[in-house]
This record gives sequence, structure tokens and C-alpha cells, in this order.
Amino acid sequence: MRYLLRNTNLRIALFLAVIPLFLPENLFPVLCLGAIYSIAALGMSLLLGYAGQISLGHAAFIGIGAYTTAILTTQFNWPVLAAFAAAIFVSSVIAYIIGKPILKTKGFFLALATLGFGEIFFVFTSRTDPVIGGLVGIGGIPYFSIAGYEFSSYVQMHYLYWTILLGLVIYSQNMVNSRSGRAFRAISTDELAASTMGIDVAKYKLRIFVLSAAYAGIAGSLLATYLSMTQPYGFRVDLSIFIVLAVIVGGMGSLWGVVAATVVLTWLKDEQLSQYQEYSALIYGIILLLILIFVPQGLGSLGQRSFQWMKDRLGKAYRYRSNRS
Amino acid sequence: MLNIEKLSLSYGEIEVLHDVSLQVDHKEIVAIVGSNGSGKTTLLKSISGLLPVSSGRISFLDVDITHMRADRLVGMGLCQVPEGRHIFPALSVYANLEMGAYVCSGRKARAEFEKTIQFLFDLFPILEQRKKQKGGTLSGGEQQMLAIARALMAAPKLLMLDEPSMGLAPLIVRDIFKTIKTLNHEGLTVLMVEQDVQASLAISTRGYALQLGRIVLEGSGQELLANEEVKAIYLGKRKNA
Repeated sequence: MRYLLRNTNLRIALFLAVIPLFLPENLFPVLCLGAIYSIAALGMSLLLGYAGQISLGHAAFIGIGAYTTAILTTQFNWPVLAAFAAAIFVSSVIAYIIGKPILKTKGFFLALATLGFGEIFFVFTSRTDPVIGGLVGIGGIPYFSIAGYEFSSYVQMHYLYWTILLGLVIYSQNMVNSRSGRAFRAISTDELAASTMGIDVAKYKLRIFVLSAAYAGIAGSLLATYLSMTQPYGFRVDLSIFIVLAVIVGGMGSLWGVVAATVVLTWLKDEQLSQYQEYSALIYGIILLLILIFVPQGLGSLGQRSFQWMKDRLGKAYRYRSNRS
Repeated sequence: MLNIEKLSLSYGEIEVLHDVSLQVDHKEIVAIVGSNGSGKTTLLKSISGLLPVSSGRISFLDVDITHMRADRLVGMGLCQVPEGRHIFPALSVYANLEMGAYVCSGRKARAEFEKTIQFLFDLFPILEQRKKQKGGTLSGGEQQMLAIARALMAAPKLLMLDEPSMGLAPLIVRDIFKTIKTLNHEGLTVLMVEQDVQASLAISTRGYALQLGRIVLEGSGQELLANEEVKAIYLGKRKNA
């Protein structure tokens, strides 16, 4: 199983490595943004898909990552890499502070509490003009660079983002199959049973919340350097819902499925539907309904299901032939 | 082994346990019997740290555990089989058992794990047959066995059972109680809470009767079974009959 998983990773990595050679120029932004959103969706997949906790305020953590990077690079002239690390740190710390009280709630209440947090972040960023630019936001954020090497073209960014994403996917896969991964799954099915197994439910919930916020922070920091600007409107509830939607569409228990879904949804959002912004809630709702009705396990399950279907079909044909002879 | 002194517990303003004192010694089976709403489950949950205690003291193996968290108690050897079984329905029987061994880690635990699981499969052969099946597809009795087996994976010193007979057919209840007795012979201490007064007291070394949050009677299992008041209250026999 382990070997197979690695193999899948390898195949996907190879695919992503050669794809810039064949892809039309205009699809690069989708792949880059898709990778960035996928990082956040991956964190949400761990939180929602594995540990069963929802957050409708994850856009705020992306925003915190973006704003930390923006402020540190433009106003304090930090190198981008240092600002990137700081962004992860700040979003994790804030997640830790608010997670402690918020995670005592469950289900709808948790959804509402995190939603509230997201709105607080929006109000805060849009009203604090002198420091972080209010509604106008912060511009002029430099490109991502490591030791002087700048990632300024789409191809360079493509490799950067997907490498980071691949690393995070592998890390997440290992975590999901570890002792903590088992604890998360236990918590998501039955908190009482989990605690009678000796699992510290509160600690693990906080841990996964902080981890998913750190993923969101990474995504935010990359987003800031990609767009070279941050704006409060970029991190509102529709982004939070977009990420939750990506996890549901991709499949609660499938990490690559979530990545694939995020890329497809990013393409829909930014390329196909960008002129229908005001209908985004309606469109997301329709997608969500269709998925929940027809592919409740998410797109990630489609591969396995079609394989199973083929196996059944072939098996039937084979039995039929051997019966005749 | 387990000592409870003057334990009281409230849900908000309403006190539901009043000065409950009881003790469980090594290798005993102790049953707490009582009708619906007498506070049995509340009592067990307060021992296992799932509910906060208002006053009183609980000690386990001479350690004060009154305000200890549930997950730490499991590591100390105090395991609970919750009411209504609470197995993981989406996980296979085997994975459920693995989850039970969550607190055990390290290389030694690995070897221990194989031994424990073999012991449990000998005890509950049906679980071995169904080890790849999902927990949720088992029958009620099998689920109860799984819940007990899962708790045993953590190698408890004291096993607490919350209504092991709940929702099960009499024949299966008899099997379950027989197994509890066997486990006790192997050296396991058991504290259980039951509505099935007859079946539970019959295998118990000692028993307590709980009524409206107070201990009203205590004695050996046989004594309680013979007690006129118990007969009158729980077994539905008239005192003068």
C-alpha cells in the first residue's frame, strides 16, 4: 500500500514536471493558483475530511499568511523566504489562540464561530488603513525568491508551487497513516469513544486546526507573492466556502482528489465564471448538490470506482466465457 | 484498587449523585444496579473522567484521579466500555481493535499486541471470523463483544462496563456475562453498571444498589439477590410472596 501510494505520487510528480511543455500559455495561471489553493484545501481536507471538524473561516488564515508576508516584505524589507516562514508562524499562533476556545464547540456552532472569525478578520483588515492599507490593501510585494533566485515567470512559479504542494501531500499522507492519523479518524467518528481509547480529544483537535491553519498560511504567503498584492476582499467567506467545496468535491478522504478538484474549481472560478462573480454562491451550491447526489464520495473515489466497475465487467465476461466452454 | 469517597456530581443546578462512596478491590466483579435515571451511567462517567465531579474524592491504585482527564486514565489502566458500545462503524473489526491499543506504543507493545489480539480472538472466536468486516455490520451482541475486546486491547487493570446487556437478547446477555466471568478468572477486575439485576448480581462478588443518586444497599452478590428489598424493587416480586 505504502509503495503504491509513493508510486502514485511519483507518477503525478512526473506528470506535473512535463506538463509545462505541452500546456497552452493561458492555462498557467490556473495551474499556479490551483496549486496555491490546493495547499489550503489540503489543510482543510485534514481538518474536515479526516478529523471531522469544519471551519468556515479559513480564508482568514490565508489572509493572515498573505498580510504577514505583505507587511514584512514591503514595510520592513524582509527577504521573502523569511516573511514566508513568519507567515506560517503567525497563522499557526493565531489559530492556536482562537482554536482553544472555539474548538469546544461542535458542528454548526463551530461553523458559525469560525465564520465569525473570518468576518472579524475582514473588518479588521478593511478598517486599519494606515498600517495595512484598508480596502485598497498592500501592493508591490516582491516575487518569491530563494537566496537571490527569483521565481518570476509562470513556469518557474509552477515548479515552485507544485514542489511545495507535493511535499505537503507526502507529509499529509504520512500523517494520515500514523498514530495521530488514527486518532483524528477516531475523533471524527466518535469523540466519546476516542477519549475512552485514551485519545486526548481536545489536544488533537487543536493540533489539526493549527496544522490546517499553517497550510492556509503557506497558501496565503504564496498567494501574496503571486498576485504581488493583498486586499481584504480577497479573503472573504466565499474563499472559505470555495476551500470547503473543494474538499467535498474532491472527496473527504482523498488528498490527490482534493488537489484535482481544487484545480478544476479554480479553472471554473477564474477562467469560466469570472464575469459571473455575483452568482458564485449559486454556482457553488449547484456543484455541491450535484456532487452530493451523484458522487457523494467525491471525485477522488471516481478512479477507484471506475476501476472496480471495469473489474466487475471483465470478471462477468470472463465467467460467461468459461461457463460456455 | 478503586476508592470513591463521598462523591457528588451536578448537572448545572441539579445534583444527581449524592455522597456516593464505594470501593472495588483486586480481582473483584462489582456490580452497581439500579433503575433508569438512578445515576449509574453518570457515576461511571465521573469515574472515567468524562464528567466533572463537584465534590468528593476518587482514587485509583492509590493515585488521586478525581480531576484527571479520561484519556490519561486509559494509560493508567482504567478502561471504560461506554454505554451503547460506541464502536467505530466504518472501521473493520481489526482496525477497531488496533484503535483500542492506541495508548500502547513502542516495540514491546508490538509483540504484546499480537499476543493480546490472539487471546481476544480465542475468547471471541466470532470476531476472528469477522475481522475484516466493518464494525457497523456486526450484530448487537457482536458489537458488544467488539467493544469489550477493544477496551481489553489497552491491557486495563480495571475494566468498567456500562450496561453490557443493553439491547441484547437474553441468550447473548448470558454469553457476555459468562465471558466477563472468564476474564475475571484470568485476573481482571471489573466494575459494571447494569439494569439486568439478576444476571449481573449472579456473577458479582459484591454489589451496590443505586437509587436516585444514593447508594441504598450494598453486599455480596448473593446477599443482594436474596435481599427482600432488591426483590421488591428490581425483580418485581412482592415482599411477602
